[in-house]
Amino acid sequence: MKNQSSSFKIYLSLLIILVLGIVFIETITPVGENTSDEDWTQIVNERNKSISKLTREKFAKTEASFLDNQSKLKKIIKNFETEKSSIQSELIDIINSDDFLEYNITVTDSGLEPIAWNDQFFSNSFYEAGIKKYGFNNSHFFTNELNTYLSIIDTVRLNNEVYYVFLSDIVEKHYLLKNRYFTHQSIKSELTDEIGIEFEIIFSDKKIRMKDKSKFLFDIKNLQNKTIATVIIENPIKEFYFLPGYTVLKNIQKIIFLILLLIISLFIYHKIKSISKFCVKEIFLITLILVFRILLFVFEIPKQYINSSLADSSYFSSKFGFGIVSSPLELFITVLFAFGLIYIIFNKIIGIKNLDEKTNYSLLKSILITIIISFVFCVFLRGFGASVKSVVFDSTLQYFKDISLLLGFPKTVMLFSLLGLGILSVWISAHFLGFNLKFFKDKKKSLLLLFLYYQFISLLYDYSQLNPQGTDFTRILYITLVFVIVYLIEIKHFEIKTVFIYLCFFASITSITHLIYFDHELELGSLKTKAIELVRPDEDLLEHQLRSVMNQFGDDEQAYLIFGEGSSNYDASAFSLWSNSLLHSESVNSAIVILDSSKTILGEFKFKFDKEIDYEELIIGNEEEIVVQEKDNIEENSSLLHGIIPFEENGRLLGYIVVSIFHDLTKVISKDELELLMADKVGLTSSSLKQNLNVLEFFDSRLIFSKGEINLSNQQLDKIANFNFEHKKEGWLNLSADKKDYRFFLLRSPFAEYDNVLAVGLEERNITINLFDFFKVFFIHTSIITLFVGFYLLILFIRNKELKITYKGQLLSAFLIISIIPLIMLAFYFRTLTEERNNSAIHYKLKKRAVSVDKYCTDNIKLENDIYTVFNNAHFDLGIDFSIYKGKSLIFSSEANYYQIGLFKDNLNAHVYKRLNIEGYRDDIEIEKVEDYKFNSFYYQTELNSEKYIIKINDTFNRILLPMSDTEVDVFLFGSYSLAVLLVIIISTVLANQISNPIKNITAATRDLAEGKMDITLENKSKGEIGELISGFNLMIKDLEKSRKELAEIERESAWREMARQVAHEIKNPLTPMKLSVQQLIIAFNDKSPKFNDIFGKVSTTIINQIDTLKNIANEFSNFARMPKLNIEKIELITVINESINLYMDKIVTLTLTSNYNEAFVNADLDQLKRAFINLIRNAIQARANKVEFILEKRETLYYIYVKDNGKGISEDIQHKIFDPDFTTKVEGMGLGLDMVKKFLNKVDGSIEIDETSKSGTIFLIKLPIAND
Amino acid sequence: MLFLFILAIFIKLKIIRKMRILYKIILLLFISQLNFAQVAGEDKSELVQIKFETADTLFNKIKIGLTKGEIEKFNMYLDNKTYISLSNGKMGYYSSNQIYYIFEDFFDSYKPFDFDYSTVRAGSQKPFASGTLKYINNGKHKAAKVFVSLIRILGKWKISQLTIN
Repeated sequence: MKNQSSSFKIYLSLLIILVLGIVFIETITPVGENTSDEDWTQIVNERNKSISKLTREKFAKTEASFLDNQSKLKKIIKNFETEKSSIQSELIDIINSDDFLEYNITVTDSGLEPIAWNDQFFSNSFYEAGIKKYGFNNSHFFTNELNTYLSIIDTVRLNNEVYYVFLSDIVEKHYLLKNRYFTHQSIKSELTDEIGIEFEIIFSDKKIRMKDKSKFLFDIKNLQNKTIATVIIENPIKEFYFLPGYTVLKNIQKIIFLILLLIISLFIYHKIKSISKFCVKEIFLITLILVFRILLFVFEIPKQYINSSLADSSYFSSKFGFGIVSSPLELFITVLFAFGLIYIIFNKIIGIKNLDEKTNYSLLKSILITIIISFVFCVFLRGFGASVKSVVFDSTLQYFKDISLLLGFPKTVMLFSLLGLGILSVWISAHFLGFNLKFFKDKKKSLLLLFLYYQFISLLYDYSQLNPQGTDFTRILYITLVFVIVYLIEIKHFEIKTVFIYLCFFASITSITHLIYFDHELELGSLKTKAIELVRPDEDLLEHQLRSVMNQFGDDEQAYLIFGEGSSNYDASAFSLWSNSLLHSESVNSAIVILDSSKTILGEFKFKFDKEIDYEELIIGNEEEIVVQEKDNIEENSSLLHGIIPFEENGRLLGYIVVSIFHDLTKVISKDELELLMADKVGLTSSSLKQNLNVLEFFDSRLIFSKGEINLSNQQLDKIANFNFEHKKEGWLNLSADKKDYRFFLLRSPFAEYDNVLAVGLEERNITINLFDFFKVFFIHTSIITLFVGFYLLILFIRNKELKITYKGQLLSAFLIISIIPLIMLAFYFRTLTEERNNSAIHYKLKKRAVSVDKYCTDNIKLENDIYTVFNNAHFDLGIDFSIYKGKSLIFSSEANYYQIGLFKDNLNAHVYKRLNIEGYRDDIEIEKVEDYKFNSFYYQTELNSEKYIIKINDTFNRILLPMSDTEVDVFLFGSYSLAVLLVIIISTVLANQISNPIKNITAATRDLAEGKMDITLENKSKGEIGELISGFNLMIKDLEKSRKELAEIERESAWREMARQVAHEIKNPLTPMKLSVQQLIIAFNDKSPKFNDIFGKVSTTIINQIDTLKNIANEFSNFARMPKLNIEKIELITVINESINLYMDKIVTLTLTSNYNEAFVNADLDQLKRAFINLIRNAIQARANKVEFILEKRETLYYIYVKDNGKGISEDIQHKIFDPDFTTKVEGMGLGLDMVKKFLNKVDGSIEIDETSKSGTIFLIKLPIAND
Repeated sequence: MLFLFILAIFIKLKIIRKMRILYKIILLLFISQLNFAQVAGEDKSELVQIKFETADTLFNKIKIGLTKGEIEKFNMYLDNKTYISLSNGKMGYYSSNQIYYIFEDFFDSYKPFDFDYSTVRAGSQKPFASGTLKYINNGKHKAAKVFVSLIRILGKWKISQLTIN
């Protein structure tokens, strides 16, 4: 009572605190809105002070980290000792090591000539200006058109010579590429993310004066206390300032509310858990789970607090349940809650029988039930299919696109949720089926018939649907797997734990097959999306895009700075503007040209744009305008628009930026542009191997452009060009080419006047890709399942302090280790070999092109004086893209555009320089990268006109086709080897079973023998030593049985003999004095003794006494054989059961009583009733049960007591004998137990019978009349 | 109706009577959820019946939705795969369900307070409209250009693309 009182106080205190918290928050929330002007000024000042402090701290941290690396570099350089001739080589190795890859490092000699570098290096004058302006060891910022760097200049002395080290780190990128290769670096964005406001940073030591009172500025100083930058932020607006704070407070309020709810729930649960009506607890828990989930959704927890891709709706969102699964995280949480619900409903509640199985249902009733349940089953299966479809179609995650097994967080969480959905679905379906099966007597036969019926009815159901949620294969597989689960439970009586593991794997298989099907549907759908995307741009859209870009540039300070401060690289400026506009994000064929006030081109950047424009003619006035080029100047069906933006300052014209957009309405495909410059768009091409996409464009039945590897015949091309669209604008077509099947989506031109057909096609998935797709997700699911099984085993190990590994488990582990390790080694070997072969092939092909260029140039240099003309001609005649270096610098490139804008470095790769110029190699191949875009570059040294040049060929611009790319190898290896591993596992399991089963049988038989069961005979199918062991065992059992029977017989005889001897002995005792007395009487009579009368009296007395003695002996003997008398009284049944249970509480067996009632009265003998229950418990333990359950129910005038155990059951041949008086299965037993129980119960108008028995246990049913009040 | 039919069969077969109240409730819940489960994951955009509306009407509804930051005003006009491009970087083809939540998140960060069209061409074969959306983001007032175009599918107008940049 004391404990209850104190816990109540604790609950109450917590509740009060939490409620007060909610009220408090509610009251303080509006405070901010009523701030006075004075207070507001103070708040603003405090806020600005705080932000400036945080910003300075961030810069200080960045600088500190930078300087640490500077020290590290200097230390390494100083510590190496080498000869002068190898200083350059060593320096190149050091600064190109992994430690310094993220920095731009250049080491120059005293003449500022670069001798080692790892990135772009600059001109001598640049370095000279830097030293002059900043000096040494003085960190500062410097900015070019593409980046802003934090930089420092240092000196180092090696072999008495001074070298300068220029170390820089990018802090701000001024260009933005919206694709997977680009990593955005922006200290401004980092500050915005951390602090939540926008920052403007001027990376210069110039003093900035700000007159605008709505802004606040502060400087950033380096460690030498010199100003290196100025930060400008906007002062807050009162109306909006407090909003974030309010939001935070409201969120805290929501969390407090949830905690409050939890505490109240705990309190209620504490109160109700003692209630014996068992469903009350469960209903409460179900309600709590549902309410909690809904509240989490309404309060947007944890979405509000997690700012990651997991909470991003664009990755996945569905409107199911009013948006309760609007992100991967929400789906995951919902699945977890669903698990809780289903577990309570099915295991805790419906786990107990809810139907009287004794009732015989007529065939008609059973069939009707089956029809209803099968219909429900089909609808449920459809629901599952729809859920998986939603996971695919309402998601932008492409589960099979990446070959990597290390998926990101959102994908892993989605696949986990998918597994969860599969488990729930199979689990519930198995329950439906199990319920259906209960209406049939012969379970085995019924299961087979039901299987056929369910397959048939689901087929009909699917065919009746307009939009089936799966294929025939997925449906058949699902139903088969569910039936296997039910078979394992109902027929094979597998343990629930084992079945659950099977269920998890089956759920994985069925969910993956659904996933693959829908992903394939999506892939086909994406063909349509791709086609639509190609034709999406039209004049209206282009004009809108042009206006948007013009507005953007017109407001962009960066654009003004180009003219204001000037630029050293206007091409890079144009590229920077382009990348930050929607010209890049929409992949518009466009050009940005920067001109001065006299319309001279200063710099330009072109993207899929090859038109020549006369700007003198184009730019007429000084007004911002859009000029649409006349149709007669360009192709008939194309649009060319120009947006002219003049830039002025104080009335003076500074220059122009001209944005040009070109689009050919009937030629939608254009030449491939560098992938690095293409923006990634969600929802297009979900192919796992992007190069499989084929695009063909036809105009007037002629093929005008094609992209992809497909090789179609003229006939096939005609088929596409002349496709019969009927009245539609789109259609689908299947084609076969090069022994592969393709599926094409065809789209007719959106414009009636153009006869244009666009075909977008993909190779149909082959077995390799399907295997890869399947095993990739299966691998992840298996990892999750293994993790949970491992966790469960760990808990068992902690609890029991031992881990039992069976003989079968040991065998299986041995087989797997022997088989799988070599497989994995083989896979790695094959992978490495293929990679090496591919690298060799790439090397060879690139070298071949380089040699071709070399030969061309060597041959033609004699005819042509100008070397650049020779290079140009080589590019056009050979169709090869290449670059030429002289010394360290680039002197020519067929793709000069990318070098001019600064995207590609225009100095020679330092490693190459070392290999070719220092070490003297003829050629070298390097893996280079721009951002994260990797490519192979082959460098080849040549001599032209006695001068050394280096030819560079890379596979960015020269496509190399490999017989099997690394990606294809990975796909093939993973898919096929996974299948091999699975087969190995299956075969090993079968073998381990075969070997261990005989041992297992012998073990079980030995256990039975120990418990006294003698009628054991093991089936002997094995040969060899195991067969001999089994035969020997069987023989031993027979001998043992015979010996025991003989022994028992001898003992019984001996017991009877002893008893008879005792009785005879007892009887003899009174008989002797009786005989002596009679003899004495006879003598007295014969002697006519005068004392005859006395003697007669004495003898009579003696004889009577001895007869009494004999009578007593007989009475005792009779009492011994008689049953004790019953003492019938009104007794409380639940107490008696609990007392019987308590006698075994410290034993291994678990005993429970389940009852809906607090008390139950019957008329019986207390002792006998207790003895009856004890008898049953003892029998159960002897039958190897570890769980005995008493279930009390009330039926009209009787109490039904079910005594359920999980022992080995009673075999059919002895079931009718167990209540016989002298029947026993135990050697020592007299066979009186159940007979006595039955007799006693009959005496009190009760009964006992076997309700159910099988290998998984027995249920006895005791009936007792309810006592009247 | 389906649920009632099933319930009647169970009553007739006297199965319900033999079951406890709780099981009856659970059975009811389960059966009543079936229809829900069936259509839950399905894309409803094909099933929603939109009565015939002109392009003008759609543009008006889009305007209201953008001004108030309420996607519900026009999400029923989204197709299976609609192209969107937003200032927060979301760009590509998304399902109608996804767009709904993407826009919800978008309006949370980019709180619109005004929107108007500068160009509306509702009468052509490919209707489109463009305008300027004014919003507050990170405490600052900003503006973005909006472009929306429509496409005719099965006789009804649907949004084919919507860009806010």
